[in-house]
Amino acid sequence: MTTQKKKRRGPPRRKVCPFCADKNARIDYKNPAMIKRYVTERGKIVPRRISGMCAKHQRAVALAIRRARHIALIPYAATGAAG
Amino acid sequence: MSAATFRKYETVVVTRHDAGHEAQRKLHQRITELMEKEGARPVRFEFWGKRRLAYPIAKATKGIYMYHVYLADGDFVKKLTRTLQLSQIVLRYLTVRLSDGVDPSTYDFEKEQHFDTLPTEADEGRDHGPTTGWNAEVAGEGAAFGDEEADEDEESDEDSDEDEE
Repeated sequence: MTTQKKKRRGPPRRKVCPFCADKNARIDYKNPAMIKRYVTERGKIVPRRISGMCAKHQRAVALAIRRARHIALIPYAATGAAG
Repeated sequence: MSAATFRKYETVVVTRHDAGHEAQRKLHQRITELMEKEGARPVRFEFWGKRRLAYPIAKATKGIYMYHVYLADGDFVKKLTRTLQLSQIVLRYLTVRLSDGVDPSTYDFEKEQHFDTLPTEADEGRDHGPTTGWNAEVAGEGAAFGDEEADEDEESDEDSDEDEE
């Protein structure tokens, strides 16, 4: 009896750290467009298990996010009643 | 400052957008004079212009961003920090150490040299948004990824600039 559960085809896809893949990509808190890709819509830092980033680059990105927040380039939390 | 080796720092200063050119210029002058007096070596200065803040700070919704890169020692940073803290128009500042043990006699100043000038009253209303900064050089390829977001920020900024004064 086969279950109705969705079958997983093959092993889970291995995520690649975007900063390991592209050596030229710089992690810079001064670039909000780039930093914003690593926060959720609500402004939270995307965890490593989702982003697939390596520990080293996750730390660097997290630091950049905190710096960018401080100088108000990106929000600490999404504003507005929605939520 | 007698130390032979310096450290390389960058400082982002965010000031109130409604403080006026005079106050803006005075602050800038104070910073540059302090650099001169303390023997700090300016490497780069960028005027990023008026940007909407991601969240209001002290009731201000917009800020003027200035970006300095310089060689100095820790004492200078202390003094600079004090200057910024005493200023009425500074909303936020952030100093980051970029590298240690830089020797100014062998440092290649030409490489990143760039000095923006502060806009004057005559430039009022003109778009002096980030001429350099993340949009051009600093961001490099990175800017290409999230361009839509950056544009959106910039435009809404321009729209409401005038009515606030």
